[in-house]
Amino acid sequence: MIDVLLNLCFRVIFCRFLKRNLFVMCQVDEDYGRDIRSADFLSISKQCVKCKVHTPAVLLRIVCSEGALIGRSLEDRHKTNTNIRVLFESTGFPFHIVPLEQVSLPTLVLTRPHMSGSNCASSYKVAVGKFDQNKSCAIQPSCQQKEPVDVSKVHTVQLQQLVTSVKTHTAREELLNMLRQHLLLHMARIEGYSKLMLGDNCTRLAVKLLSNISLGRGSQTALDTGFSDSRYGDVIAVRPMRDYSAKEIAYYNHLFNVPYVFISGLDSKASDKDSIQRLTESFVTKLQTAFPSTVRTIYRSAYILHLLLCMPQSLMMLLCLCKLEAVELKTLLCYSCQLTIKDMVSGKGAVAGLVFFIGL
Amino acid sequence: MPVQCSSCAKNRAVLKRPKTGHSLCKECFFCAFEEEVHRTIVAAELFKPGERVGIAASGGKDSTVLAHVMKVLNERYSYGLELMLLSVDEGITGYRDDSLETVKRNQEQYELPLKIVSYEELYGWTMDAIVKQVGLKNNCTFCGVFRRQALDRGAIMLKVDKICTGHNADDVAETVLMNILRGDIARLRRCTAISTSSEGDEVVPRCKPLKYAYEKEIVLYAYFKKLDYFSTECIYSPNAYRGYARTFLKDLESIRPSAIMDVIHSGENLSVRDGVKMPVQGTCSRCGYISSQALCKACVLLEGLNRGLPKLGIGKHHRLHGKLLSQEPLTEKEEKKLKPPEF
Repeated sequence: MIDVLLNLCFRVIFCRFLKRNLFVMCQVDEDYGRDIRSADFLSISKQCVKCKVHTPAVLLRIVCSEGALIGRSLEDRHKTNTNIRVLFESTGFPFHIVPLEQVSLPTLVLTRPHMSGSNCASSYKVAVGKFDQNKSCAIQPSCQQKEPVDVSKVHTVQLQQLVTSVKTHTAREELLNMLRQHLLLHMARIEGYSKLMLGDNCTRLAVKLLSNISLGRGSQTALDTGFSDSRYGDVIAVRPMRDYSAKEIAYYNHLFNVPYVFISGLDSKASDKDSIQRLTESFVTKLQTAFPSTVRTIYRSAYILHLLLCMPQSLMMLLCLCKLEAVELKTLLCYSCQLTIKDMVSGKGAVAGLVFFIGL
Repeated sequence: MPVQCSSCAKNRAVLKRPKTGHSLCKECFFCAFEEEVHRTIVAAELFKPGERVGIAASGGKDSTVLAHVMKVLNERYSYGLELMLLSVDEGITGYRDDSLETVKRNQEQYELPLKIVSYEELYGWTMDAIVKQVGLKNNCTFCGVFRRQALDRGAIMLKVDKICTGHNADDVAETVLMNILRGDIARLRRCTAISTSSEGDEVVPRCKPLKYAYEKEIVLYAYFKKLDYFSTECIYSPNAYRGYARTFLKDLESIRPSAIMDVIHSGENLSVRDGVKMPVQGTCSRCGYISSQALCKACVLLEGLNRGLPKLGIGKHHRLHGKLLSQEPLTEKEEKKLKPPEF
């Protein structure tokens, strides 16, 4: 934001973009190729144009609590959860605070789409449904304000074993992202929500694009950084905050006293050379100071890219939910997931951990 | 404790391959390196028997290794190619004149014909004179654009069917990263191709046989084979934008050695959505070279140099092409924007 704006003007412009994105979000189905710049602005008091019943901005807060991974004690985790709960209660929306130990992956890492013509994404849903029926799930049907689910020590130890079995920070962060995505999807599906709003901003998406390229995920980068991600089938992930840079959001929070809770993660206080994701973030932020248009240019590149057209016989890799490139048919993993799994130490505990989590 | 070679297990290992991490003896490393280049050439069907192939030689490590490996593989696998060396003299004192001596020595060592084309004879400008006018920023743009045309013109003079360049895996990966950072989607689609298409009379198709060879391995190969090459960086390149992408790539490689191949893999699998405007290939109205605009970039840059407006050609200038073609003078406001910065 180079222009100096009054607080009120800044808020009006900020909210106008968000309302436009929320309006488009309701319209998003499989086809998201509409020109969103021509969308009319919608007042928040009108009904949703699609379902004509509910208010347009239904927000469900799902927070994945990852304290187990960085060795935080149960008391610390409860304290953070309490802070988050207070924050969410003040908004009046329903919310869930779910520990990462609740994540579960479907039995099949790879599935072939049915010949009857249903698409790859619905096969994923069938696989997840069968897996959930077989495994006893501790999640109760939704209520307005849930207490965080108490995790068993066994689950915590299994999760820690799985994550520590990965040798490199890069692979660890990749694995964590995958587990988090699966958990969010799982929760959204159980609660019956059609959209999953993710808070990725412009800066974070630019970093994500560049780190996806560095990790060999070029073919899926369009889905990982685009406005909507419809690969899951019934739940569509959207990113309404993708037009805002991290700085603009920080200014907004500061000017209008928006409360937030900072939770340290795996990459907090990490050095630049610890992981590819951390290195990319440091590189982009340093380049941005020398060339101020860097983040916007990378973001624009992300907008122009799209997923390679899906061939009828293509397979979907259920670990990271990407379409397999044709050359990797022989193995069960896509190019990038092979690199992640290669970084795992072979050992009884590690293998046991992965087996538990992929339900083999 | 001496480590044995992981391939033959007979000799002592003298190096660890940066690409795979294997410990190899000299002979096994040479064999592995040459075999990989051979497989790249065969899989991509880069050459046909009987073709005349020009090897773009600058005297540096990449082109020296390329010339050596091409000669070895041509004899070993009977590609049936007629090889020749093609070199470009940009007119950089203290750098290019020394490296050209290396190319002349390579010509004697490999017994290949050599043709040298210079910027002076093609354009009337040397890089030293260009840098005096332009400064140390953006000078790589001039050199790169002029060199591309110079190579094609040299190839036509030599009557070759194909040019092969010494671009290695690091170069291709840096180009992918650079094109993303600059938002150059048109180049992003083309930059990972191992060979260019052969449309147009003025253009000779090019290929990159060393596309999957790591730069570190090329250095190791040149060192252990005791090849004669020139190893100094160009004196005008320290401020190039590519330097940022190069530093980033080197850091990526230190975290995960396969990152270079991963970036190339990502670049090959990127795709652009429909409806995005892409440049269409045509010809330059002045010199007949391929161009997506009315005037090719080399003509625009030359026009800028000749008029004392070095910024013409850097940044957006397609609106001025009409004026340049019809030799109209530019307005004062336009001239002021294009002059070099004054301190």
